[in-house]
Order: sequence, then C-alpha cells, then structure tokens
Amino acid sequence: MTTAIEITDLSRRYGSTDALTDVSFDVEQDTICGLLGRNGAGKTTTLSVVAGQERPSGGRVRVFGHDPADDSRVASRTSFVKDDQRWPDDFRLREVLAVGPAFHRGWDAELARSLAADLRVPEKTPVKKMSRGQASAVAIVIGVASRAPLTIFDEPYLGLDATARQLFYDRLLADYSEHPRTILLSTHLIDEMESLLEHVVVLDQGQVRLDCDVDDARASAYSVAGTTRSVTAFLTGRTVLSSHGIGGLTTAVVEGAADERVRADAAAAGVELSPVGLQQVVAALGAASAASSAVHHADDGDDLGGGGGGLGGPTADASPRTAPEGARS
Amino acid sequence: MTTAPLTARSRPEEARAASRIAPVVRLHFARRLNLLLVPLFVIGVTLVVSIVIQLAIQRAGVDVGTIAYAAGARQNPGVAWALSGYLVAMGVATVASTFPLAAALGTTRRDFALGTAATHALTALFLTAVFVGMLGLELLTGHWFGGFYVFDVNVLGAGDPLVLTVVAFLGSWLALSVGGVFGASWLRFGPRGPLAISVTAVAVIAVVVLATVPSFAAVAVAFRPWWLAVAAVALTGLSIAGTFAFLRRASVR
Repeated sequence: MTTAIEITDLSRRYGSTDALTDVSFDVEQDTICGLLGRNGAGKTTTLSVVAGQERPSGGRVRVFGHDPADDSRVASRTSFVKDDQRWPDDFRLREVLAVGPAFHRGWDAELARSLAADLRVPEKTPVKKMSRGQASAVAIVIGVASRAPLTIFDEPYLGLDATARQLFYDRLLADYSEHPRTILLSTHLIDEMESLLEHVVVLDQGQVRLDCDVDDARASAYSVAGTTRSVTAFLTGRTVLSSHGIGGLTTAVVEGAADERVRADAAAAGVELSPVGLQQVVAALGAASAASSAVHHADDGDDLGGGGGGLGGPTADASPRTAPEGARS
Repeated sequence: MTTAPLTARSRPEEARAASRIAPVVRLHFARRLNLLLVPLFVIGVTLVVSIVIQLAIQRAGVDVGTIAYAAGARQNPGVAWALSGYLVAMGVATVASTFPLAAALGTTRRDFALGTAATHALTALFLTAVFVGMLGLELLTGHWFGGFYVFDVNVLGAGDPLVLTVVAFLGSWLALSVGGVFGASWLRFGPRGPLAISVTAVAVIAVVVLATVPSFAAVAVAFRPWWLAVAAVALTGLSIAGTFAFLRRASVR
C-alpha cells in the first residue's frame, strides 16, 4: 500500500480555541476517504492543512511525502475548492473553464464542459452572484475535471438538488474508476455518499473518533431494540453510543461487533439485533461525545453510567454508559 | 506501506513543472476587462476631458500658438493621476480577490506573489506601450489638431518618449504593486492591515519631510529626476516583498 497523506499529532489552535488536537490518520493513495463529523468537528481545518492552505500549530503532515505548506510540488497536484470559496468579482464559467487547464495537467476540458452542462451551471452569471447550489456545481466541475492526484471536496453538495447530487456521485465514481486518484471529502450526507467511500475518519471536537474502512466502521456497532426493561438488561456492561426511548420501547446503538455471544445474549434478553449504517455509527459517536461532554461538565459528578435519562426516558436521548475510546486502527 | 513518490523527474525539473507562476499570470489576464480594457477607457475619457477643458480655455481667447501657452498646457497631469488611482485599486483586487481561487487551484503563496508581480509588470508594459503610442499620435497630429496637450506633458517627460516610457512603466508598476501589498495586508490582518500600512506610510513621510525641511533648498538644487526612478524601483520591490511576506502567513479565506 502507498500512503498519500500522513497526519501525525496534528494540532491547530485559533487564539484560545483548539480546532484540532493530536489528530493522526493516514490516507492511502488512490482511495476515496470520507472525513465525517459534526459541525465544528475540525473537518474543514484538517482539509485546509492537508491542502497547504493553513499551517498547523503542531504535529506533522506529509502529502506525497512532503510538507504541504507552501510546497509547489504538493500544491500543483492538489485541488481544493472550499464550500465558501471566494471568487474574483467578474469570474464566470467561461473563465473557470479557460484557466483550469493552466493549473491542472490532467484537466479534461470535455468532461468539464459536459459536467457544467449537466449540472446546469449558468454561463453568463458571475460565480460570485450564483446561488449556493450553482456555486457548488462550479466547485464540483473544477474538482472532478482537474483530475488532481489529490482532490479535496468540502461538503460539495451544499445547495444542490437531489438530481444534481446523484449526478455528481455518479460522474465522480465513473471518472475515479477510469482515473484513480486520492480523494478526500467531508460530508454530512453520509447515507447518500456512503457508496463512494472506502475509508472513513470521524472527527469530533478536533479529535479522531474513528479511523477505519467503511465495512469496519459499519461493523463497529450494532443496534438493539425492544422493551425498555429488556434492552436495559441487555445493555448492562456494554458501551452504549446512543439510545432513543418512546413509551415502553427503547432502541440503542451499542459499540462493538455483533458476535455470537452478543447474539446469544440478545436472544436471552428478548431483544432484536440489527446492523447499523455508517450514518448511524457517526451520529451515535457524535451523540455519545455530546453526552460525555455534558456529563463531564455537570456539577453533580454523575458518571457516564449514571442515571441515564436516555434508556428509561420517554424521549430521544444519548447516554453512553462508558466513554467510547477514539478508536484508531 | 510506502509513501507516494511525487515523480521520477529530477528536482529542478520537478520544481519547474510544479511552478504555478505562469498559470497565475493566465488567471489574472482572464479578467481582461478590468486589467486591460478599463485602463484604456480611463485614458480615453481623460483624453476627451483634457481636450474639452483646453478647448474651453482656447475659446476664452488664449492664443495657442505661444510658448507660454505650451508651457502652461504641459502642466496638465490629468492622464497620469486619473490612471494611478484605478491601478492602485486594481492592485488590491488582483491580490485580495484572486488569491483564494489561485490557492484552490493548487498555487503556493510564493508562486502567487511572483505571478502577480509578473502580471503587474506585464500590465505596466501594456500601458507604457499605449502611452507611447498616444504620445506619438499626439505629436503626429500637432497635438490632436488643435494644440491640446494630454501626453506631451511635463509629468510624462514633455514629449520625450524615453522619459515617458520610464515614467509610465515604473509609475504603473508601482501603483499596481502598492495596491497589491494593501490587498495582501488585508488578507493577513483584515481591515487593520491596510490601516497600519497607511498610518506607517504617513508617519514615515512626515518624519522625512520634517527632517529635510531645513535642507530643502540644497535638496532642490541637487535633485535629479533619476532619483524618482530609483525610489519607484525601491518602493515596487518593497511592495512585492511585503506582498509575499503578508501572504506567507495569510489564511486562505
């Protein structure tokens, strides 16, 4: 395996705010890696550092073996149009298509034109005055048509309608199959983009919570449902990432693999087991972290396993019984 | 597991291939309207306004055939000043509004600073060629067929094409570069950047003026025009270096 991106103990501080703390993960060359997590988790900061657009406060980042900060050998092989990209005042699609080949050796002009047409990017409107979705479409055109060895997308779907989003996924996957490159993308639409991803890194509050292949991520938790009494009994001693209670029924996402012993325990407790999707895992990790933060900030010193409005409560809740560890594989 | 090598080429080849200086120039000149056409429009409007004003003076009864009239008309600096303000604003825009896109397309701060400096120099060359052409037309047509002085003026060398070339090129490049450093300071520090540069510049000028006032007469006697050329080159170099220094630590936003 060849590593395209190596991040070791990366930290980034803005004033007194820690945006990233000891972030470490690798991305293999010619794979599609999803950077997931809640708003403010540190996704855009990480992408900016990888692209060389931000300097880290500490740690080590290597892209194609080089420090990306102001290294033309890395920058020239990178495409990163931000979700809030600023554009020159009078830049239209025509100018974008004209300058693209000057910056990216692998630029496919025909692909750029057809993608722009399919995404219905207006030709005469300055990009700066386009709608959110239209501007996102321009960013997608650049990212896909550039065929940059490292292509970064930061929530590329913002404002796009469902048809345009599907078109983007299809075209990206088709082009990636023919021209493999390393793609790093952040997204909140995990269900929609799950099929694109080979590897995921979940960030929360500036730290890595999960770093593994998509299949491993899905297998890293399971869902359990049943009456509150039986679910509570089953969960004893297990790490609950999130739980929802309605009336006398409870569902919970539990950390770990649903192995034979778990299945046997579930059968004995009379609860139903089911696999979880990537989105459920990421949402549960975020919820667990939020609950953990709330518990840690509480003055009464209640532990993670304490009380638990969640399991017995009448409303949706998140109450991890044990603090999930930032699993780094 | 290994780390992905960049290429199999030698280091200089690799660096040359990776350089984004030429693409940055291409990026800037994609905005031909702002960079090339608007200055032409400004020059054209200034030409018309200057002719109208001088025509009014002539219609008031001034004799255009006299040496005194020519000397007075050559005091007209309109075309130089009209353009300099726009070029400073353009310099700001070339850095502040183009840097984020250049970075998104894979450009380092160094390459952007050098590409922008080259763009400013090329724009200055273009304007110099326009000025020289317009001076030629002015002289060939007997000052626009009516004794109108627009390019044959003292501030541009009083009809000397060599002086005009130096003044137009260095003046244009300086104005664009000064605008560039203001734009870069804004990217680095927000509104505090240009404010700090302005305050510092005013303070330096004030100190220099106060320090040299007692020697003004001697300085005036010793003054040589090439001092201005040297000062323009120095300030342009300082502005380019300042642009790079500010961009080095600027976040892409």
